[in-house]
Amino acid sequence: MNPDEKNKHFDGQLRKKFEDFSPGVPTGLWDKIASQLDAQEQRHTVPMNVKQRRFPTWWTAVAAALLIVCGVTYWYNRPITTTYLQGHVAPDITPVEPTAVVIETAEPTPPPVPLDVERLKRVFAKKNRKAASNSPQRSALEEQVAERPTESAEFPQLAANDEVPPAKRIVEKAEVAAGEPPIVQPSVMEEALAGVPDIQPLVTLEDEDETMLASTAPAKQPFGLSNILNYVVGTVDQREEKLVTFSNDDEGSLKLDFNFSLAKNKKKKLK
Amino acid sequence: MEQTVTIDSLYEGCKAGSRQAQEKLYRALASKLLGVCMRYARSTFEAEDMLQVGFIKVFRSMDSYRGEGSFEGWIRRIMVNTAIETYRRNMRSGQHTEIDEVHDDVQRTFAMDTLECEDLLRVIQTLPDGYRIVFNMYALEGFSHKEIAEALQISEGASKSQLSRARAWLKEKIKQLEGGTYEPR
Repeated sequence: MNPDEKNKHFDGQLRKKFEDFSPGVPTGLWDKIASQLDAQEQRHTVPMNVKQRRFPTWWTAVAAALLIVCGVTYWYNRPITTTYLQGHVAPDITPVEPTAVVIETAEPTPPPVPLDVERLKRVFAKKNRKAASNSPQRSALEEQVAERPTESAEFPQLAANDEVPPAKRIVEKAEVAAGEPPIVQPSVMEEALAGVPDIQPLVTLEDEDETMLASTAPAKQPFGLSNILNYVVGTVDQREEKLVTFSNDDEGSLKLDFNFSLAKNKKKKLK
Repeated sequence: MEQTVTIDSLYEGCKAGSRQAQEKLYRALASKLLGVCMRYARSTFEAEDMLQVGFIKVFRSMDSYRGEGSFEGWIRRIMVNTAIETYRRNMRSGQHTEIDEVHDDVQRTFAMDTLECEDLLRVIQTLPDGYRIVFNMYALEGFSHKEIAEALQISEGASKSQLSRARAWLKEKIKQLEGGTYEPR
């Protein structure tokens, strides 16, 4: 047996010896391997998640940027209610031709008549009596109206006609009294005056005043924010049709109408 | 043969990352591969480390198995590569020893029947790292000197020289173990 063969024989003997060599594996080694694999998988899943989120994040960023731009644009162009304060108007400096200003009164105003206190007292005394006696009459009238519902359409007119003539007479008489000396007897006149209803104070509605003031401002055009917002929302989420509308009404207040399912209670779906 | 089929059938599951398939593969091969690692390692502790690192590599690089050769052979090669990497790491840390000149008694043969694997393993593990790797790769794994030279980044001559010295050194140690018994064949 030459040296090479002897060496091969020696190697073969050792190889055969170790061929079926299977030492006992320590318990717990697999747990170490599994935990290491788990740790590596977790490390690998993090970048994958980031990659998956990249697309929605990009859109969210774009939407957020658009919203910010729209918000800033709206803020600087927002409708501001302008209140015009009333005050003394500065006199016009430009000279005005005297012909345009001076308007001569055709008739001189009559001199003020001194108050006849005694007469006024009588008038108010009659007026008080009339007011006291009117209330039961009115209630009786209302009862009549309730009893005759078929004539209800004509009745108010009739009632109005009944009440108007005295007032008309009073106005005519007052006009006559302003121009000419009184011809009618004082007692009749006093009765007519007593029939004149009290002058009620003017009802001032502040809202209407403000509306009128605001309406003097230039009319505001509807702005394109709602269009931009609807476009962004429609692009980001195409599941359902959504509509957000901004508009200015006549009173100048901002109206926000929205028609989408974001306001739905999602818990109802879960049950 | 039946075991080979079973191991091959676990490939798909391991490739898909199934922890169950991975554990089955581990249970089927761990003991045998630990035996391989122990021949390359300096100690049982180091062999267990090699086995753990080797299995992690196997499960992480399932995609690189292209079906050339047996699945078990591919896994075994990964274990050997892991052992080589451990050897290189030890080399970098300066743990390197040389074998003094030993006389190779080529005339002697060895029965080895009376020797246990553990005894032989203890002898092999006492070999200096480089010699042990070369002897394992050439004599027990069947690598050529060219492959060994490439894997260990040494020359083929160095591989041959180290194999020769390792073999002579082992014969001497085994002779001592056998009590100087001489058995001509």
